[in-house]
Amino acid sequence: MKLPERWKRYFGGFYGSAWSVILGFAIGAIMIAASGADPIAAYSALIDGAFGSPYKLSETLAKTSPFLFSALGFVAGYKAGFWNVGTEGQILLGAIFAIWGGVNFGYLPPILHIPLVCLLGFVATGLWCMIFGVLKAKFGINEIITTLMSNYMVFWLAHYLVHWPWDDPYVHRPQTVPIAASAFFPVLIPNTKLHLGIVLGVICAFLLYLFFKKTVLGYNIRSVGLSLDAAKYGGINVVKMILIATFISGGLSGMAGVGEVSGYHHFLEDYMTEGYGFVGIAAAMLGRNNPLGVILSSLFFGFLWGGSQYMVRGAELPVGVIKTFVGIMILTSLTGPIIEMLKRGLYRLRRKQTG
Amino acid sequence: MSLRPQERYKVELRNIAKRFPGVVANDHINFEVEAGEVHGLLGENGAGKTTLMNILYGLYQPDEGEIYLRGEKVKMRSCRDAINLGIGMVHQLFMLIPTFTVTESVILGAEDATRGFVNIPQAEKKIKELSERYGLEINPRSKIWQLSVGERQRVEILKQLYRSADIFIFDEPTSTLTPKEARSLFSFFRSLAREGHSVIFITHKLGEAMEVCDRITVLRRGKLIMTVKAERTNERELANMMVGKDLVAPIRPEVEVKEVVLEVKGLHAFNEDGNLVLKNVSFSIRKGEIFGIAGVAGNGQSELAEAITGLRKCSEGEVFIKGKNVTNAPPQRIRQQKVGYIPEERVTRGSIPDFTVAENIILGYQADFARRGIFDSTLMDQYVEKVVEEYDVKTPSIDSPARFLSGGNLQRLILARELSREVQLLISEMPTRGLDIGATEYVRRKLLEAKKMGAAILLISEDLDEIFDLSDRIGVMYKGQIVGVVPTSEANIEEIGLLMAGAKVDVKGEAK
Repeated sequence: MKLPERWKRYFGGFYGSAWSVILGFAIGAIMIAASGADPIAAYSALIDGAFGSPYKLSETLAKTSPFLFSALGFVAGYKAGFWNVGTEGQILLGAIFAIWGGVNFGYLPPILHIPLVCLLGFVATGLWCMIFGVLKAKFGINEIITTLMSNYMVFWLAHYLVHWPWDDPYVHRPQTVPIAASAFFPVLIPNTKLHLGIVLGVICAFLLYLFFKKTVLGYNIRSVGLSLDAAKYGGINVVKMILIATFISGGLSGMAGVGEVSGYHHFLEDYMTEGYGFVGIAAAMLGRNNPLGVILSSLFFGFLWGGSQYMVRGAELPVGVIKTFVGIMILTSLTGPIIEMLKRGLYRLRRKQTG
Repeated sequence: MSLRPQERYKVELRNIAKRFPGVVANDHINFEVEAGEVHGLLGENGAGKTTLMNILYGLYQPDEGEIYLRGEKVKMRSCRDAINLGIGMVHQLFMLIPTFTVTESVILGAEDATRGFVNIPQAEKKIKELSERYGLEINPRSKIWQLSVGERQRVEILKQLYRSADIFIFDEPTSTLTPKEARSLFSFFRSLAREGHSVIFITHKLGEAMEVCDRITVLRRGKLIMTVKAERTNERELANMMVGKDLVAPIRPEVEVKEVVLEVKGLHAFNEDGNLVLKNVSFSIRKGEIFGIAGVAGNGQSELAEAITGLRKCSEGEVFIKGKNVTNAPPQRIRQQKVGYIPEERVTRGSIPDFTVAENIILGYQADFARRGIFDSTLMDQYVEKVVEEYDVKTPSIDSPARFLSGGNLQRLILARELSREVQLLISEMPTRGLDIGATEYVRRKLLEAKKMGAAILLISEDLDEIFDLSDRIGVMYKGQIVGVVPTSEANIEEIGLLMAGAKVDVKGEAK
């Protein structure tokens, strides 16, 4: 079957992603069977846990929101050739600024307070991520190392804030004081925790898609990511593009943390967003770094994250196996590009032989 | 290596057919090479020369047909079999390890080991003998990285001789050589033939084929057009057979020489390793003039193009375009002076393979197709459709990735982008390298058209014929310097060749 050229460009990559998901479930099934449980029961528990009731569904969607933002953050950097693996820390930094803004400006009405908190989280994290953009663009320092290390810096900053200056004296465990109610994201379905974040995330995904497709700035950033040499040849200011991309990248990741604070928990504690950044990277890969594809892949990880907790009871599996299962899914989600690469390699080989 | 005189043909390919999805690469070809013969294999890119030779070298299995070597039918499963049967192939790109010595490189894969130890001195002796016997001057103890392109080729040849090959396949061996090096390669061909070996010489340069070959076979679109004795044909006939239609050589229009467009004064620049690669380069180009820069690749030509277009910082010196100082200006500002640039690296610099054809065509001018930063897709598609048609870029659609374009089509795309608007100065770097005759002729015609429209053109090329055909004046670059500038009418190819090889090197060579 021959797809129209445009279609192929937009959806062609998703074959690879579908295969990686199938691969993940297959390996997961073997592992579950090996640990003495019934894979079918485990998977039905997974599906039921994610979608089985309105409440479970709302939890799945609520989890999707931070994954979506951190995946979009990764995509924005990736398009400029910047591998932002600091999303984990950036989420936490966004959360820190959401706490600060949420606690301090309680006199504002929600219509002003909520945008302020979002803006604070976005800009602060964006600037933070830009530091690594400068290091890469100006001094050629590898961003994978710097952004990875930056995660620890933010982690310990958050740890300090949670345990000392911002610690809530009325709660008998280390967590910050709650933010003012005026900074709470509106709840979409009453009596659930499904908040505004998912809507903002989907809007951002569409905006990011249009940004890269329809604007000169987006075009320039993509050129830088695909071929530095060709971008320079095309008269594009490479340093500037990397800085813009890293700002957007960090800002979007930070929004994941803002959503978790303003929309879900309303306070911050240690390990509250642990792993979200890395899941976001996996979601970006599974979504083939396409902002719209990322909506689907984040939903998939929201489903895994929400539903897998129910596998413990549903299939009587130890927690370790569930965690390993999620880990396998994250790993196989990265195989999509490998499958694509193999396909492309075969194509090239065939072309070469005809020459 | 004993020869059996009763067999006339050393190599006989009978009725060879090879199909790839969508193409017939070899359509029932009968091809023979005699002992003691230099046989030219001519054809455009995609004519099936390489496929045919890969079949002879055991890399591909033919779908139909038989191979006879020295009168015996053979079946080759891999190139290992071909090597054992005495076939040696010298590829266009050398696969040598820079830190190895000549000896180590030659014996790689053919080591005679006794109890796991390789006898290097013995191998060295044999290599010395071979190189003396065939006039392939080389020090077996030099490291590969110390050698010039021509010397590296000698290593590749010695490798085949060391393995006692007696059928030699040369795939476009002269494309990176100076004329002098090419000449000594040809005399080596003759000495191989004298010893009764067979040489198959793949090329698309007609003059070279006529010069050295006994017989010439022309392929076109997978079919063998004919095999002919070199003395019974001429370049024109061969060209027509290759292309399948009459070719009219482009004629350089005489344009009245007017004001200076590009002026370069005392330019110095460093490369990434901190070596001075441009030394005091000065020249100027006038409106409607083509200034050709000849030279062996790697003598600073690429860096010169980069320095003019703003892609490389100049440490000293100045660049003026129409009197405006643009030294070290950002590339965008230089582009705005109506400067077009056809880079040598079509895939990594001149285009973005993962971008669509349309996106590639607007590269460098992307802002012209947008209002307030947002692309006007109607405007863009209209323009792209127009130039794609005008420049005959063959692509399934303007939205398919540039990755799928062939070399010639990609170059058409780049020309479409750089020439479809008014150009005042055009920097053109190896514009026809690797292209087939049809595409080459097209590119040259377009350059001459641009000249006629009044563009000043800097033409950097390794192909001396191209330089002589197109340029009004010729400069030679050697080790980062322009070592001579002559009007084309007063230049002779020998002299330019000597300058390209570096006059000093030559004096030493003759003293020996």
